[in-house]
Amino acid sequence: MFDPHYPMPKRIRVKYCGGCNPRYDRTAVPAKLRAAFPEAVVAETAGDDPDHFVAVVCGCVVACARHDELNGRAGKAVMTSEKEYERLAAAVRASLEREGER
Amino acid sequence: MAMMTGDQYVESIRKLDIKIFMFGEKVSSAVDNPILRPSLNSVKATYDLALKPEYEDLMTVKSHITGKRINRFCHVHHSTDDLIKKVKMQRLCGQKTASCFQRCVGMDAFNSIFSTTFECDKKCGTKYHQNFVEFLKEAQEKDWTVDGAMTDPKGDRGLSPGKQADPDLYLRVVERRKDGIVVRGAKAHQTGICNSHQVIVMPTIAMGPEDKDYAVSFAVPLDAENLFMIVGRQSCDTRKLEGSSLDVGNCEFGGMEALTIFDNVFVPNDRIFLNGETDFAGMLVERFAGYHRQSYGGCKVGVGDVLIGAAALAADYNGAHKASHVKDKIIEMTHLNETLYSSGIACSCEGFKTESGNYLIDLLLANVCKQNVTRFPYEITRLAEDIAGGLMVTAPSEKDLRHPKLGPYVDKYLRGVASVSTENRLKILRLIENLTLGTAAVGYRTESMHGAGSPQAQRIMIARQGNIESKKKLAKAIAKIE
Repeated sequence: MFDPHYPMPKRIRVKYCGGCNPRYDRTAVPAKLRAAFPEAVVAETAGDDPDHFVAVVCGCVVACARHDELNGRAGKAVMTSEKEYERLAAAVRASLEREGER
Repeated sequence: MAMMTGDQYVESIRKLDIKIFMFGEKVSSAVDNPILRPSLNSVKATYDLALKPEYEDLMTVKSHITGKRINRFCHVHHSTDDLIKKVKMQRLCGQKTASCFQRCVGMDAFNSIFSTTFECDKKCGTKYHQNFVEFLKEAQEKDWTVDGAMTDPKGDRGLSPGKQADPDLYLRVVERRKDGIVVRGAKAHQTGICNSHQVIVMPTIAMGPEDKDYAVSFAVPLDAENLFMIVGRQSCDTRKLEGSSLDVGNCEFGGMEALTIFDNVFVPNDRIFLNGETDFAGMLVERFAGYHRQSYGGCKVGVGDVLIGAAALAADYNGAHKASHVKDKIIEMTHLNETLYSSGIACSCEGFKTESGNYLIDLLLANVCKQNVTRFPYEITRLAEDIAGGLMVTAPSEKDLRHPKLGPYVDKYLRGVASVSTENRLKILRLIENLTLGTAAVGYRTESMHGAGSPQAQRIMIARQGNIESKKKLAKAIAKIE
Protein backbone atom coordinates (compact mmCIF):
# COMPACT_ATOMS: atom_id res chain seq x y z
CA MET A 1 0.00 0.00 0.00
CA PHE A 2 1.17 3.50 -0.75
CA ASP A 3 2.10 5.29 2.44
CA PRO A 4 1.87 9.07 1.97
CA HIS A 5 4.28 9.62 4.84
CA TYR A 6 6.87 7.07 3.70
CA PRO A 7 6.52 6.64 -0.04
CA MET A 8 10.10 5.42 -0.34
CA PRO A 9 11.45 2.04 0.80
CA LYS A 10 12.23 1.94 4.50
CA ARG A 11 15.73 3.10 5.26
CA ILE A 12 17.88 0.91 7.54
CA ARG A 13 20.79 3.03 8.62
CA VAL A 14 23.98 1.19 9.59
CA LYS A 15 26.20 3.11 11.95
CA TYR A 16 29.63 1.59 12.62
CA CYS A 17 31.98 1.97 15.53
CA GLY A 18 35.42 3.17 14.40
CA GLY A 19 36.87 -0.31 14.03
CA CYS A 20 40.13 -0.07 16.02
CA ASN A 21 40.16 -3.76 16.98
CA PRO A 22 37.00 -5.47 15.69
CA ARG A 23 36.39 -9.09 16.63
CA TYR A 24 34.50 -9.83 13.41
CA ASP A 25 33.96 -8.35 9.96
CA ARG A 26 31.57 -5.48 10.63
CA THR A 27 31.36 -4.57 6.97
CA ALA A 28 29.67 -7.90 6.17
CA VAL A 29 26.59 -6.89 8.16
CA PRO A 30 25.03 -4.49 5.59
CA ALA A 31 25.27 -7.15 2.88
CA LYS A 32 23.50 -9.63 5.15
CA LEU A 33 20.80 -7.08 5.94
CA ARG A 34 20.33 -6.30 2.25
CA ALA A 35 19.88 -9.99 1.48
CA ALA A 36 17.47 -10.47 4.37
CA PHE A 37 15.40 -7.34 3.74
CA PRO A 38 15.31 -6.63 0.00
CA GLU A 39 12.27 -4.39 0.51
CA ALA A 40 14.38 -1.95 2.56
CA VAL A 41 17.27 0.34 1.71
CA VAL A 42 20.33 -0.40 3.80
CA ALA A 43 22.50 2.74 3.98
CA GLU A 44 25.90 3.21 5.59
CA THR A 45 25.85 6.98 5.42
CA ALA A 46 23.47 9.74 6.44
CA GLY A 47 20.80 10.58 3.91
CA ASP A 48 18.01 13.07 3.31
CA ASP A 49 15.26 10.55 4.05
CA PRO A 50 14.41 9.69 7.65
CA ASP A 51 15.84 6.46 9.04
CA HIS A 52 13.30 3.76 9.71
CA PHE A 53 15.68 1.76 11.88
CA VAL A 54 19.24 2.31 13.08
CA ALA A 55 21.58 -0.66 13.34
CA VAL A 56 24.68 0.21 15.36
CA VAL A 57 27.39 -2.25 14.36
CA CYS A 58 30.21 -2.36 16.89
CA GLY A 59 33.32 -4.51 16.60
CA CYS A 60 33.52 -5.43 20.26
CA VAL A 61 31.63 -5.25 23.54
CA VAL A 62 33.03 -1.80 24.36
CA ALA A 63 30.50 -0.49 21.83
CA CYS A 64 32.08 2.95 21.67
CA ALA A 65 30.24 4.15 18.55
CA ARG A 66 28.61 7.49 19.13
CA HIS A 67 24.97 7.21 18.11
CA ASP A 68 23.07 9.45 20.53
CA GLU A 69 21.99 11.71 17.66
CA LEU A 70 20.88 8.80 15.50
CA ASN A 71 17.41 7.45 16.07
CA GLY A 72 15.29 5.36 13.76
CA ARG A 73 11.60 6.04 13.53
CA ALA A 74 10.93 2.42 14.46
CA GLY A 75 13.84 1.87 16.78
CA LYS A 76 17.52 1.18 17.15
CA ALA A 77 19.62 -1.86 18.04
CA VAL A 78 23.29 -2.28 18.88
CA MET A 79 25.28 -5.41 18.00
CA THR A 80 28.72 -6.11 19.41
CA SER A 81 29.49 -9.62 18.15
CA GLU A 82 28.78 -11.76 15.13
CA LYS A 83 26.38 -13.99 17.04
CA GLU A 84 24.20 -10.97 17.79
CA TYR A 85 23.34 -10.57 14.13
CA GLU A 86 20.21 -12.73 14.40
CA ARG A 87 18.95 -10.57 17.27
CA LEU A 88 19.57 -7.46 15.21
CA ALA A 89 17.85 -8.96 12.17
CA ALA A 90 14.89 -9.96 14.31
CA ALA A 91 14.55 -6.40 15.58
CA VAL A 92 14.68 -5.04 12.04
CA ARG A 93 12.14 -7.64 10.89
CA ALA A 94 9.78 -6.79 13.73
CA SER A 95 10.04 -3.09 12.96
CA LEU A 96 9.21 -3.66 9.30
CA GLU A 97 6.30 -5.92 10.15
CA ARG A 98 4.92 -3.38 12.62
CA GLU A 99 5.13 -0.77 9.90
CA GLY A 100 3.33 -3.06 7.45
CA GLU A 101 0.44 -3.56 9.87
CA ARG A 102 -0.27 0.15 10.08
CA MET B 1 35.57 21.87 1.96
CA ALA B 2 36.06 20.61 5.51
CA MET B 3 37.38 17.20 4.47
CA MET B 4 39.62 16.26 1.54
CA THR B 5 39.80 12.94 -0.25
CA GLY B 6 43.16 11.20 -0.30
CA ASP B 7 43.64 12.14 -3.95
CA GLN B 8 42.83 15.79 -3.21
CA TYR B 9 45.42 15.72 -0.45
CA VAL B 10 48.04 14.36 -2.84
CA GLU B 11 47.31 17.04 -5.41
CA SER B 12 47.35 19.76 -2.75
CA ILE B 13 50.87 18.71 -1.75
CA ARG B 14 51.93 18.57 -5.39
CA LYS B 15 50.95 22.23 -5.77
CA LEU B 16 53.26 23.37 -2.96
CA ASP B 17 56.78 24.46 -3.79
CA ILE B 18 58.37 22.56 -0.91
CA LYS B 19 62.14 22.69 -1.02
CA ILE B 20 63.41 19.17 -0.28
CA PHE B 21 66.97 17.91 -0.67
CA MET B 22 68.05 14.27 -0.68
CA PHE B 23 71.41 12.70 -1.57
CA GLY B 24 72.76 16.19 -2.25
CA GLU B 25 70.13 17.04 -4.85
CA LYS B 26 66.86 18.96 -4.90
CA VAL B 27 63.81 16.70 -5.10
CA SER B 28 61.19 18.02 -7.50
CA SER B 29 58.25 16.82 -5.38
CA ALA B 30 57.53 14.53 -2.46
CA VAL B 31 54.60 13.19 -4.47
CA ASP B 32 56.49 11.45 -7.25
CA ASN B 33 59.73 10.43 -5.57
CA PRO B 34 59.83 6.65 -4.89
CA ILE B 35 61.67 7.10 -1.59
CA LEU B 36 59.28 9.76 -0.28
CA ARG B 37 56.01 8.51 -1.78
CA PRO B 38 55.26 5.83 0.87
CA SER B 39 55.39 8.57 3.51
CA LEU B 40 52.86 10.59 1.56
CA ASN B 41 50.72 7.46 1.14
CA SER B 42 50.54 6.99 4.92
CA VAL B 43 49.11 10.48 5.34
CA LYS B 44 46.84 9.92 2.35
CA ALA B 45 45.39 6.96 4.28
CA THR B 46 44.27 9.31 7.06
CA TYR B 47 42.12 11.12 4.47
CA ASP B 48 40.81 7.99 2.78
CA LEU B 49 39.88 6.26 6.04
CA ALA B 50 37.95 9.32 7.20
CA LEU B 51 35.58 9.01 4.25
CA LYS B 52 34.76 5.35 4.87
CA PRO B 53 31.58 4.75 6.91
CA GLU B 54 33.17 1.88 8.82
CA TYR B 55 35.87 4.19 10.24
CA GLU B 56 34.16 7.57 10.44
CA ASP B 57 33.27 7.23 14.11
CA LEU B 58 36.97 7.32 14.98
CA MET B 59 38.34 9.30 12.06
CA THR B 60 35.90 12.21 12.11
CA VAL B 61 34.33 14.49 14.68
CA LYS B 62 32.28 17.66 14.85
CA SER B 63 34.42 20.79 15.12
CA HIS B 64 33.85 22.72 18.32
CA ILE B 65 34.55 25.91 16.37
CA THR B 66 32.44 25.56 13.23
CA GLY B 67 30.15 22.62 13.99
CA LYS B 68 31.24 21.01 10.72
CA ARG B 69 32.39 17.42 10.47
CA ILE B 70 36.19 17.38 10.31
CA ASN B 71 39.04 14.92 10.33
CA ARG B 72 39.85 14.09 13.95
CA PHE B 73 43.51 14.91 13.28
CA CYS B 74 42.45 18.59 13.14
CA HIS B 75 40.40 18.40 16.34
CA VAL B 76 40.81 19.90 19.80
CA HIS B 77 39.67 17.31 22.34
CA HIS B 78 36.64 18.35 24.36
CA SER B 79 36.01 15.25 26.48
CA THR B 80 37.70 12.13 27.75
CA ASP B 81 35.76 10.31 25.04
CA ASP B 82 37.64 12.44 22.48
CA LEU B 83 40.94 11.48 24.11
CA ILE B 84 40.03 7.78 24.04
CA LYS B 85 38.90 7.93 20.43
CA LYS B 86 42.13 9.65 19.49
CA VAL B 87 44.09 6.61 20.74
CA LYS B 88 41.73 4.21 19.00
CA MET B 89 42.04 6.16 15.76
CA GLN B 90 45.82 5.97 16.01
CA ARG B 91 45.70 2.24 16.56
CA LEU B 92 43.50 1.92 13.49
CA CYS B 93 45.86 4.04 11.36
CA GLY B 94 48.86 2.00 12.57
CA GLN B 95 47.06 -1.18 11.59
CA LYS B 96 46.26 0.13 8.12
CA THR B 97 49.71 1.54 7.31
CA ALA B 98 52.18 -0.42 9.50
CA SER B 99 54.10 2.83 9.74
CA CYS B 100 54.07 6.33 11.18
CA PHE B 101 51.14 8.18 9.62
CA GLN B 102 52.51 11.52 10.78
CA ARG B 103 49.43 13.62 11.48
CA CYS B 104 49.42 13.02 15.26
CA VAL B 105 52.20 15.47 15.87
CA GLY B 106 50.15 18.33 14.43
CA MET B 107 47.08 17.26 16.41
CA ASP B 108 49.15 17.17 19.60
CA ALA B 109 50.55 20.61 18.80
CA PHE B 110 47.00 21.94 18.25
CA ASN B 111 45.87 20.72 21.64
CA SER B 112 48.89 21.86 23.63
CA ILE B 113 48.99 25.31 22.00
CA PHE B 114 45.24 25.76 22.39
CA SER B 115 45.41 25.56 26.20
CA THR B 116 48.83 27.17 26.64
CA THR B 117 47.98 30.27 24.59
CA PHE B 118 44.76 30.66 26.56
CA GLU B 119 46.61 30.68 29.87
CA CYS B 120 49.44 32.84 28.51
CA ASP B 121 46.97 35.47 27.26
CA LYS B 122 45.23 35.46 30.62
CA LYS B 123 48.45 36.17 32.48
CA CYS B 124 50.36 38.29 29.99
CA GLY B 125 47.59 40.09 28.08
CA THR B 126 48.83 38.68 24.77
CA LYS B 127 46.57 37.74 21.82
CA TYR B 128 48.04 34.36 20.93
CA HIS B 129 44.93 32.30 21.58
CA GLN B 130 42.91 34.21 19.02
CA ASN B 131 45.78 33.87 16.55
CA PHE B 132 45.81 30.17 17.15
CA VAL B 133 42.04 29.67 16.94
CA GLU B 134 42.02 31.46 13.57
CA PHE B 135 44.84 29.21 12.38
CA LEU B 136 43.05 26.11 13.68
CA LYS B 137 39.83 27.15 11.95
CA GLU B 138 41.68 27.39 8.65
CA ALA B 139 43.45 24.07 9.28
CA GLN B 140 40.08 22.40 9.90
CA GLU B 141 38.39 24.03 6.93
CA LYS B 142 41.23 23.15 4.55
CA ASP B 143 41.90 19.76 6.19
CA TRP B 144 45.61 20.51 6.42
CA THR B 145 48.29 18.11 7.46
CA VAL B 146 50.30 20.11 9.96
CA ASP B 147 53.73 19.04 11.14
CA GLY B 148 54.57 19.81 14.76
CA ALA B 149 58.23 20.73 15.07
CA MET B 150 59.70 20.64 18.55
CA THR B 151 63.15 19.03 18.62
CA ASP B 152 66.04 21.47 18.19
CA PRO B 153 69.51 20.11 17.33
CA LYS B 154 70.48 21.13 20.90
CA GLY B 155 74.28 21.17 20.43
CA ASP B 156 75.97 20.78 23.82
CA ARG B 157 73.31 19.14 26.01
CA GLY B 158 75.00 20.55 29.08
CA LEU B 159 74.34 24.15 28.04
CA SER B 160 71.14 26.19 27.85
CA PRO B 161 70.03 27.63 24.49
CA GLY B 162 71.63 31.03 24.99
CA LYS B 163 74.96 29.58 26.14
CA GLN B 164 75.62 27.40 23.08
CA ALA B 165 78.78 28.06 21.05
CA ASP B 166 76.49 28.53 18.05
CA PRO B 167 73.34 30.45 19.08
CA ASP B 168 71.32 28.88 16.25
CA LEU B 169 71.43 25.38 17.73
CA TYR B 170 68.06 26.18 19.25
CA LEU B 171 65.61 27.92 16.93
CA ARG B 172 65.29 31.59 17.87
CA VAL B 173 63.95 34.98 16.95
CA VAL B 174 66.69 36.94 15.21
CA GLU B 175 64.65 40.00 14.34
CA ARG B 176 61.46 41.55 15.70
CA ARG B 177 59.62 43.71 13.18
CA LYS B 178 56.40 45.65 13.27
CA ASP B 179 54.68 43.09 11.04
CA GLY B 180 56.20 39.94 12.53
CA ILE B 181 59.39 38.13 13.44
CA VAL B 182 62.29 36.53 11.61
CA VAL B 183 63.45 33.17 12.95
CA ARG B 184 66.59 31.11 12.41
CA GLY B 185 67.47 27.59 13.49
CA ALA B 186 66.55 24.01 12.70
CA LYS B 187 64.23 21.26 13.83
CA ALA B 188 65.44 17.67 13.65
CA HIS B 189 63.72 14.29 13.11
CA GLN B 190 60.58 15.73 11.49
CA THR B 191 58.57 12.74 10.28
CA GLY B 192 56.21 13.66 7.48
CA ILE B 193 57.30 17.24 7.09
CA CYS B 194 58.09 16.72 3.41
CA ASN B 195 54.41 16.03 2.75
CA SER B 196 52.73 18.49 5.11
CA HIS B 197 50.94 21.73 4.30
CA GLN B 198 52.05 23.72 7.34
CA VAL B 199 54.49 23.43 10.21
CA ILE B 200 53.90 24.54 13.79
CA VAL B 201 57.12 25.28 15.64
CA MET B 202 57.37 24.96 19.42
CA PRO B 203 60.24 25.34 21.88
CA THR B 204 61.96 22.12 22.88
CA ILE B 205 62.64 22.72 26.58
CA ALA B 206 61.55 24.88 29.48
CA MET B 207 63.27 28.27 29.30
CA GLY B 208 64.66 30.79 31.77
CA PRO B 209 64.26 34.58 31.42
CA GLU B 210 67.63 34.78 29.62
CA ASP B 211 66.27 32.61 26.79
CA LYS B 212 63.54 34.99 25.67
CA ASP B 213 64.43 34.77 21.98
CA TYR B 214 64.13 31.00 22.10
CA ALA B 215 60.67 30.91 23.67
CA VAL B 216 58.85 31.07 20.36
CA SER B 217 55.96 29.24 18.72
CA PHE B 218 54.42 29.93 15.32
CA ALA B 219 53.06 28.41 12.12
CA VAL B 220 54.28 28.82 8.56
CA PRO B 221 53.43 27.07 5.29
CA LEU B 222 55.89 24.42 4.19
CA ASP B 223 56.76 26.38 1.08
CA ALA B 224 57.70 29.51 3.04
CA GLU B 225 60.70 31.41 1.78
CA ASN B 226 64.05 30.28 3.27
CA LEU B 227 62.56 27.09 4.69
CA PHE B 228 63.98 23.82 3.39
CA MET B 229 64.44 20.19 4.34
CA ILE B 230 67.27 17.68 4.13
CA VAL B 231 65.86 14.14 4.11
CA GLY B 232 67.24 11.62 6.59
CA ARG B 233 68.55 8.24 5.47
CA GLN B 234 66.88 5.05 6.56
CA SER B 235 68.13 1.50 6.63
CA CYS B 236 67.33 -0.16 3.26
CA ASP B 237 65.92 3.14 1.85
CA THR B 238 67.31 2.68 -1.66
CA ARG B 239 65.54 -0.65 -2.03
CA LYS B 240 62.60 1.57 -2.92
CA LEU B 241 64.46 2.58 -6.08
CA GLU B 242 64.82 -1.01 -7.27
CA GLY B 243 61.22 -1.46 -8.33
CA SER B 244 60.61 -4.58 -6.26
CA SER B 245 57.45 -4.58 -4.17
CA LEU B 246 58.47 -7.82 -2.45
CA ASP B 247 61.92 -6.76 -1.26
CA VAL B 248 60.72 -3.57 0.45
CA GLY B 249 58.31 -5.47 2.70
CA ASN B 250 55.73 -2.67 2.77
CA CYS B 251 55.54 -1.25 -0.72
CA GLU B 252 52.75 1.23 -0.10
CA PHE B 253 53.33 2.93 3.24
CA GLY B 254 56.17 4.39 5.29
CA GLY B 255 57.40 7.45 7.14
CA MET B 256 60.28 9.75 6.25
CA GLU B 257 62.15 12.21 8.44
CA ALA B 258 63.98 15.40 7.57
CA LEU B 259 66.21 17.98 9.16
CA THR B 260 64.25 21.19 8.64
CA ILE B 261 66.14 24.44 8.27
CA PHE B 262 64.66 27.84 9.02
CA ASP B 263 67.23 30.12 7.43
CA ASN B 264 65.77 33.51 8.39
CA VAL B 265 62.10 32.72 7.87
CA PHE B 266 59.57 35.52 8.28
CA VAL B 267 56.52 34.84 10.46
CA PRO B 268 53.63 37.33 10.30
CA ASN B 269 52.14 38.53 13.60
CA ASP B 270 48.90 36.59 13.18
CA ARG B 271 50.75 33.29 13.06
CA ILE B 272 52.71 33.81 16.28
CA PHE B 273 51.60 31.76 19.30
CA LEU B 274 54.44 32.53 21.73
CA ASN B 275 57.11 35.20 21.49
CA GLY B 276 59.32 35.65 24.50
CA GLU B 277 57.00 34.54 27.31
CA THR B 278 59.52 32.12 28.77
CA ASP B 279 57.22 31.08 31.64
CA PHE B 280 54.98 29.34 29.15
CA ALA B 281 57.64 27.50 27.15
CA GLY B 282 57.79 24.77 29.78
CA MET B 283 54.01 24.44 29.93
CA LEU B 284 53.82 24.07 26.16
CA VAL B 285 56.59 21.48 26.07
CA GLU B 286 55.11 19.48 28.94
CA ARG B 287 51.62 19.41 27.45
CA PHE B 288 52.79 18.61 23.93
CA ALA B 289 55.04 15.84 25.26
CA GLY B 290 52.15 14.48 27.33
CA TYR B 291 49.79 14.31 24.36
CA HIS B 292 52.47 12.81 22.16
CA ARG B 293 53.36 10.19 24.76
CA GLN B 294 49.69 9.26 24.84
CA SER B 295 49.74 9.02 21.04
CA TYR B 296 52.33 6.26 21.15
CA GLY B 297 49.89 4.14 23.13
CA GLY B 298 47.81 4.03 19.95
CA CYS B 299 50.02 4.26 16.88
CA LYS B 300 52.72 1.81 17.97
CA VAL B 301 50.03 -0.62 19.10
CA GLY B 302 48.50 -0.58 15.63
CA VAL B 303 51.88 -1.28 14.04
CA GLY B 304 52.41 -3.95 16.70
CA ASP B 305 49.13 -5.57 15.63
CA VAL B 306 50.54 -5.93 12.11
CA LEU B 307 53.85 -7.32 13.38
CA ILE B 308 52.11 -9.85 15.63
CA GLY B 309 49.94 -10.91 12.70
CA ALA B 310 53.03 -11.22 10.50
CA ALA B 311 54.83 -13.34 13.10
CA ALA B 312 51.80 -15.61 13.47
CA LEU B 313 51.64 -16.00 9.68
CA ALA B 314 55.37 -16.74 9.53
CA ALA B 315 54.79 -19.49 12.10
CA ASP B 316 51.93 -20.86 9.98
CA TYR B 317 54.04 -20.76 6.83
CA ASN B 318 56.99 -22.37 8.59
CA GLY B 319 54.72 -25.13 9.93
CA ALA B 320 55.65 -24.16 13.49
CA HIS B 321 52.34 -22.67 14.59
CA LYS B 322 51.45 -25.64 16.80
CA ALA B 323 54.69 -25.54 18.80
CA SER B 324 53.88 -24.50 22.37
CA HIS B 325 56.80 -22.06 22.61
CA VAL B 326 55.65 -20.31 19.43
CA LYS B 327 52.12 -20.00 20.77
CA ASP B 328 53.53 -18.63 24.00
CA LYS B 329 55.63 -16.06 22.15
CA ILE B 330 52.57 -14.83 20.26
CA ILE B 331 50.77 -14.54 23.61
CA GLU B 332 53.69 -12.57 25.04
CA MET B 333 53.74 -10.20 22.05
CA THR B 334 50.01 -9.65 22.45
CA HIS B 335 50.36 -9.07 26.17
CA LEU B 336 53.07 -6.46 25.64
CA ASN B 337 51.16 -4.74 22.86
CA GLU B 338 47.92 -4.57 24.81
CA THR B 339 49.81 -3.28 27.85
CA LEU B 340 50.93 -0.32 25.72
CA TYR B 341 47.34 0.21 24.65
CA SER B 342 46.14 -0.01 28.25
CA SER B 343 48.17 2.96 29.37
CA GLY B 344 47.21 4.92 26.25
CA ILE B 345 43.56 4.37 27.13
CA ALA B 346 44.12 4.89 30.87
CA CYS B 347 45.76 8.31 30.53
CA SER B 348 42.86 9.30 28.27
CA CYS B 349 40.15 8.11 30.68
CA GLU B 350 41.83 10.12 33.44
CA GLY B 351 41.99 13.24 31.31
CA PHE B 352 40.76 16.57 32.63
CA LYS B 353 39.50 19.93 31.43
CA THR B 354 41.99 22.78 31.08
CA GLU B 355 41.13 26.45 31.60
CA SER B 356 40.67 26.83 27.85
CA GLY B 357 38.03 24.09 27.77
CA ASN B 358 39.97 21.42 25.94
CA TYR B 359 41.00 18.18 27.61
CA LEU B 360 44.48 17.16 28.71
CA ILE B 361 45.54 13.60 29.44
CA ASP B 362 46.73 12.43 32.84
CA LEU B 363 50.42 13.28 32.57
CA LEU B 364 51.69 10.57 34.90
CA LEU B 365 49.92 7.81 33.01
CA ALA B 366 50.90 9.28 29.63
CA ASN B 367 54.54 9.23 30.68
CA VAL B 368 54.21 5.67 31.96
CA CYS B 369 52.69 4.81 28.58
CA LYS B 370 55.64 6.23 26.67
CA GLN B 371 58.17 4.69 29.06
CA ASN B 372 56.68 1.29 28.22
CA VAL B 373 56.88 2.18 24.54
CA THR B 374 60.64 2.71 24.90
CA ARG B 375 60.90 -0.98 25.85
CA PHE B 376 58.09 -3.23 24.66
CA PRO B 377 58.36 -2.79 20.88
CA TYR B 378 61.98 -3.97 21.19
CA GLU B 379 60.83 -7.16 22.91
CA ILE B 380 58.01 -7.59 20.40
CA THR B 381 60.46 -7.29 17.50
CA ARG B 382 62.86 -9.73 19.21
CA LEU B 383 60.08 -12.29 19.51
CA ALA B 384 58.98 -11.67 15.91
CA GLU B 385 62.54 -12.30 14.71
CA ASP B 386 62.69 -15.43 16.87
CA ILE B 387 59.50 -16.81 15.32
CA ALA B 388 60.36 -15.74 11.76
CA GLY B 389 63.71 -17.49 11.65
CA GLY B 390 66.96 -16.42 10.01
CA LEU B 391 65.53 -16.43 6.51
CA MET B 392 64.10 -12.95 7.12
CA VAL B 393 67.64 -11.62 6.73
CA THR B 394 69.18 -14.14 4.33
CA ALA B 395 66.51 -14.63 1.67
CA PRO B 396 67.50 -13.88 -1.93
CA SER B 397 65.94 -10.99 -3.80
CA GLU B 398 62.73 -10.88 -5.81
CA LYS B 399 64.88 -10.76 -8.96
CA ASP B 400 66.31 -14.16 -8.01
CA LEU B 401 62.83 -15.51 -7.34
CA ARG B 402 61.70 -14.33 -10.80
CA HIS B 403 64.90 -15.46 -12.58
CA PRO B 404 64.24 -18.18 -15.15
CA LYS B 405 67.11 -20.39 -13.97
CA LEU B 406 67.52 -19.41 -10.30
CA GLY B 407 63.85 -18.92 -9.53
CA PRO B 408 62.91 -22.62 -9.47
CA TYR B 409 65.70 -23.28 -6.96
CA VAL B 410 64.61 -20.42 -4.72
CA ASP B 411 61.04 -21.62 -4.98
CA LYS B 412 61.97 -25.24 -4.24
CA TYR B 413 64.35 -24.75 -1.34
CA LEU B 414 62.75 -21.83 0.45
CA ARG B 415 59.26 -23.23 0.63
CA GLY B 416 57.87 -23.88 4.10
CA VAL B 417 54.56 -25.77 4.32
CA ALA B 418 53.54 -27.19 0.96
CA SER B 419 50.20 -25.36 0.89
CA VAL B 420 51.75 -21.87 0.92
CA SER B 421 53.76 -20.44 -1.97
CA THR B 422 57.38 -19.52 -1.44
CA GLU B 423 56.53 -16.05 -2.66
CA ASN B 424 53.97 -15.54 0.09
CA ARG B 425 56.39 -16.87 2.68
CA LEU B 426 59.02 -14.40 1.48
CA LYS B 427 56.49 -11.55 1.48
CA ILE B 428 55.70 -12.02 5.15
CA LEU B 429 59.37 -12.39 6.08
CA ARG B 430 60.19 -9.17 4.22
CA LEU B 431 57.42 -7.39 6.09
CA ILE B 432 58.94 -8.55 9.38
CA GLU B 433 62.35 -7.42 8.16
CA ASN B 434 60.89 -4.04 7.20
CA LEU B 435 59.38 -3.52 10.64
CA THR B 436 62.25 -4.83 12.70
CA LEU B 437 65.32 -3.56 10.85
CA GLY B 438 64.27 -1.97 7.56
CA THR B 439 62.79 1.43 6.80
CA ALA B 440 59.84 0.95 9.19
CA ALA B 441 62.16 0.16 12.10
CA VAL B 442 62.91 3.88 12.22
CA GLY B 443 59.32 4.39 13.33
CA TYR B 444 58.71 1.20 15.26
CA ARG B 445 62.00 0.88 17.14
CA THR B 446 64.17 3.99 17.47
CA GLU B 447 61.23 6.38 17.31
CA SER B 448 59.68 4.33 20.11
CA MET B 449 62.84 5.00 22.10
CA HIS B 450 63.38 8.69 21.37
CA GLY B 451 60.22 10.04 19.76
CA ALA B 452 58.12 12.24 22.10
CA GLY B 453 61.17 12.36 24.36
CA SER B 454 63.89 9.89 25.29
CA PRO B 455 63.32 7.53 28.26
CA GLN B 456 64.93 9.82 30.81
CA ALA B 457 62.51 12.63 29.93
CA GLN B 458 59.62 10.40 30.99
CA ARG B 459 61.40 9.34 34.16
CA ILE B 460 61.78 12.97 35.17
CA MET B 461 58.05 13.47 34.67
CA ILE B 462 57.21 10.24 36.49
CA ALA B 463 59.37 11.42 39.40
CA ARG B 464 57.54 14.77 39.44
CA GLN B 465 54.09 13.24 39.22
CA GLY B 466 54.70 10.11 41.28
CA ASN B 467 53.27 11.45 44.57
CA ILE B 468 55.98 9.72 46.63
CA GLU B 469 55.31 11.64 49.86
CA SER B 470 51.76 10.34 49.88
CA LYS B 471 53.04 6.80 49.37
CA LYS B 472 55.40 7.22 52.35
CA LYS B 473 52.43 8.24 54.47
CA LEU B 474 50.55 5.14 53.38
CA ALA B 475 53.46 2.93 54.37
CA LYS B 476 53.82 4.68 57.73
CA ALA B 477 50.15 4.20 58.47
CA ILE B 478 50.29 0.48 57.75
CA ALA B 479 53.55 0.04 59.68
CA LYS B 480 52.20 2.07 62.60
CA ILE B 481 54.97 4.64 62.41
CA GLU B 482 54.03 7.87 64.20
